[in-house]
Amino acid sequence: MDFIIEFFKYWNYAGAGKIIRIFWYFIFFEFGRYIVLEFWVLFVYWLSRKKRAEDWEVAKQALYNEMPLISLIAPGKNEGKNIYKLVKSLNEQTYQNVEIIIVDDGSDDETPMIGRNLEKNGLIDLFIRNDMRGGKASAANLAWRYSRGKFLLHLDADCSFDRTAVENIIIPFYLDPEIGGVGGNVKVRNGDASLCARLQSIEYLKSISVGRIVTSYLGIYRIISGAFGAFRMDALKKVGVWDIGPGLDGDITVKLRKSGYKIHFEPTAICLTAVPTKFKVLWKQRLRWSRSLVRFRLRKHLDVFLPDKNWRWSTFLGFVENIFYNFVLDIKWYIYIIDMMVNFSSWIWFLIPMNLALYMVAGFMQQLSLSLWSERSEDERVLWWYVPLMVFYVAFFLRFCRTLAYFKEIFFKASYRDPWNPQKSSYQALKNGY
Amino acid sequence: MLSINKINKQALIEYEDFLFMYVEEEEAFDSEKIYYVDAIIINSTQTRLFEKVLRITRTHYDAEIYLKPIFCVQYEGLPLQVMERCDGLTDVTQYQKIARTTREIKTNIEKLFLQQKFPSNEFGVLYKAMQYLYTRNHDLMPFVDRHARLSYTYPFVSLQLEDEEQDKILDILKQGVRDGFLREEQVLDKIHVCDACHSAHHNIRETCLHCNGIDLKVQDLIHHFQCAYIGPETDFMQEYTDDLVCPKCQKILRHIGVDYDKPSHIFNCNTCNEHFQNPVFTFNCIDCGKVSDIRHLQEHLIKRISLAAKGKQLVLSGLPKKNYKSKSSSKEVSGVYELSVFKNILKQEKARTAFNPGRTFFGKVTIVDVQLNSISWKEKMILRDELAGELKSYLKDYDMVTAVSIGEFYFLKLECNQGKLEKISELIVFNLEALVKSNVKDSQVVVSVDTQAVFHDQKIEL
Repeated sequence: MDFIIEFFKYWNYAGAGKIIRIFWYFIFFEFGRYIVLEFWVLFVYWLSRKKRAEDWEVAKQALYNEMPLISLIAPGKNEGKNIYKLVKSLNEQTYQNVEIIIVDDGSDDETPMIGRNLEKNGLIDLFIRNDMRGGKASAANLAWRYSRGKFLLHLDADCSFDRTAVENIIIPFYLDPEIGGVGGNVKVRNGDASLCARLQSIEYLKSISVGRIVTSYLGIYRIISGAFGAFRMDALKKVGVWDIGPGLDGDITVKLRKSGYKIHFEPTAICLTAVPTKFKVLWKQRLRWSRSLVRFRLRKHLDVFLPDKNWRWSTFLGFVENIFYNFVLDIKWYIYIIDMMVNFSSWIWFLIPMNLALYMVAGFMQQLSLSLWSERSEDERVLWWYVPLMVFYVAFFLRFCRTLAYFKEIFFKASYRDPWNPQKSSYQALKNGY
Repeated sequence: MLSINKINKQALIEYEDFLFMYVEEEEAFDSEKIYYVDAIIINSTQTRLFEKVLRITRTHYDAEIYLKPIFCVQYEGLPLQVMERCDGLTDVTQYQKIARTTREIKTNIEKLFLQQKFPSNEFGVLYKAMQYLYTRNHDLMPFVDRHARLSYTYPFVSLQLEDEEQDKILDILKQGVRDGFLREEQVLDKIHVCDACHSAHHNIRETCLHCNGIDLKVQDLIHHFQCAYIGPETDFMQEYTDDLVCPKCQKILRHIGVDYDKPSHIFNCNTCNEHFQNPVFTFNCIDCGKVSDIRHLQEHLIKRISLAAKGKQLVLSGLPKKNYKSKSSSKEVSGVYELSVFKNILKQEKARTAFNPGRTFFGKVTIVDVQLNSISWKEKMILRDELAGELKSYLKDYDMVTAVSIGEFYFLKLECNQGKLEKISELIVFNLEALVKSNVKDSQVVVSVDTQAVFHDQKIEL
């Protein structure tokens, strides 16, 4: 009780100047970006809802007038247990002029048997098996090679889709002919499996469902998720399809941007995916994802900072935002902690609870915006209980994971040794600077 | 002591106490003389002659004829179907060996109970096969024969059935094994037969998954490690050089395993232009043209068959009387109709022959025996049904029989020719007489069969 009284006395005495001095990191970077900017963009987005709905109807009519063939491709390894569920979900789609192509990248489970059976029974159009694993990019490229659609949808085999997902992810191409790729709204299907999955449910809602509405509106949307992304076939051909990963979904988005195409996020095209249910598995996944920031943003596509014929503000700013918030601020956070330890060490027991309180309040504000936008807000109500834990999940788990990944990639190029890709491909990618 | 005589071109050889028929030419073969000889020696490279001799002897109704030893003089290149079906290969100087084999077979034949009546045609074939195995004292060894519908011929047994009935052999032998008369010794092969015509001759084809087209092209898929491009080999091939060049990054692929690999292959159908990795294997029946996949073919095992103790006992003691009465005593024999039904069918058949004349025959079987009057009315009814069933057993499933009385039966034989009909008539006479004799004391039965082709404008008195 005495501590609480002391706590309030301290912050009352400190005043605004000292609060800004101590919480500059939160106030200027986090609150400004994730609360002020996001709420403003969402408000503007909401105001334009009528106009967007009218445009959407026109585009939908154009889609159904043309009825183009859409290629749905699902490259993967050891996805046997997920394939049937995926195909069932695709067969339920409202848009039916599709071809389904599944590529098995050297699986050692029952995938070949299941895939061939589905092909034989006409549930999918083509099943291709590579006896030797070539990596995700080569599997996707093989599927692309045999695709005949005007648009191509890249899907992960462990995903399932709302009935209107295919239709809704294609309509944006008819809203703006300059759009080369559209990202779908990926949500967590197995959120109730564990605490780890619950936290990821909130994270996906924040960073994908709402976060990408904002970045897409601002024109700096940078990753078309590999789990559910749509591409114009001619655009894919122009950019030379997928290069070796990991992080090939972000890579191809940048390639499309550099070639002059617009990238769009469609929140109504909903895909559900299974996320890791254990922190250990999640740690490995995030190490891989985070390494791609260094590999692709800081190495391969560093030329977006150089003015050339394809230079665009939106691409430039998208990169800056990405690098600043994920890389620079990640390092800055450690500086901030040192600053606090050195200059405010005697008040550290007041600083920590205040810091946590600020992040929790911000977390609840974000959760409010999520529930206003989500079409499944009823189902997601349970997530409110987990919002306080997100502070620890984001501030410590994800941050430490990111830092380790950046360190290993910068100094050891660890992504080239990731078993996610076969060694033969990684070796060539390293040797030739991919 | 060897002496060679010629009667009307037909050479007969006496050796020790045996008389051999020596056949060199088809024209010289006198089938009437096979009754009197102990064995037949064929000295010819003509398969046709061998087939003729074999068919005449082995399909005869008399056991002493159909079990008669047949030898072949050995020539280089003698067809397998000749070698496997004769009782020995010899040369013209080996009469001692021929005599020894003939003596063994003859001795065995003498031990047999010469059963002449069987509950059914199928059982007759089985019984004859058992007799053959007993007299030859070796196993029934099927051999590959590309002329046979099943691709395998069973010596002796195959000849007991018409060409279109060859598929029944396997069922007959299986039934023999189930009944304990025969024993399966060794699996020699597995065959797949058409479910429509039971032929084992198929053309196996890789066909398109989508359109069943056969014009397919298969290509390797090439994976370029460096840029992750993967596609069919033609994507990488150049028009004027042998280089493989990646269509994505334009690099030359120099070394498999280092620059690229071939992780798989893909088929392209030139008919519908679809792609797939796993073509469907279809089986096109050479005989009837039916296209099936392997799931629709019937699988059979070809086995070496030996005579079991129960079978041996049966051929030595003959069938118990109740056995060969059982089927024919049934009043519900398939294909035996009431006279009124038979008349209607005959009427319809006459109309049909307007479009297909000369292939349908009407037959009248007359049985004359004064001793028939000595049996009771009930016994007459039973015997009448037995005779009808017996008569039907020598006809096809689709042929029809009716019994007017114990002394008069009519039958309708479809899709037949005069030669076959005469042969069947001979069998009917022989077996109906045997049946009456075995059921009527002091029988002096005479059975006659009169046949005539059915034409649409012809009147047939019933």
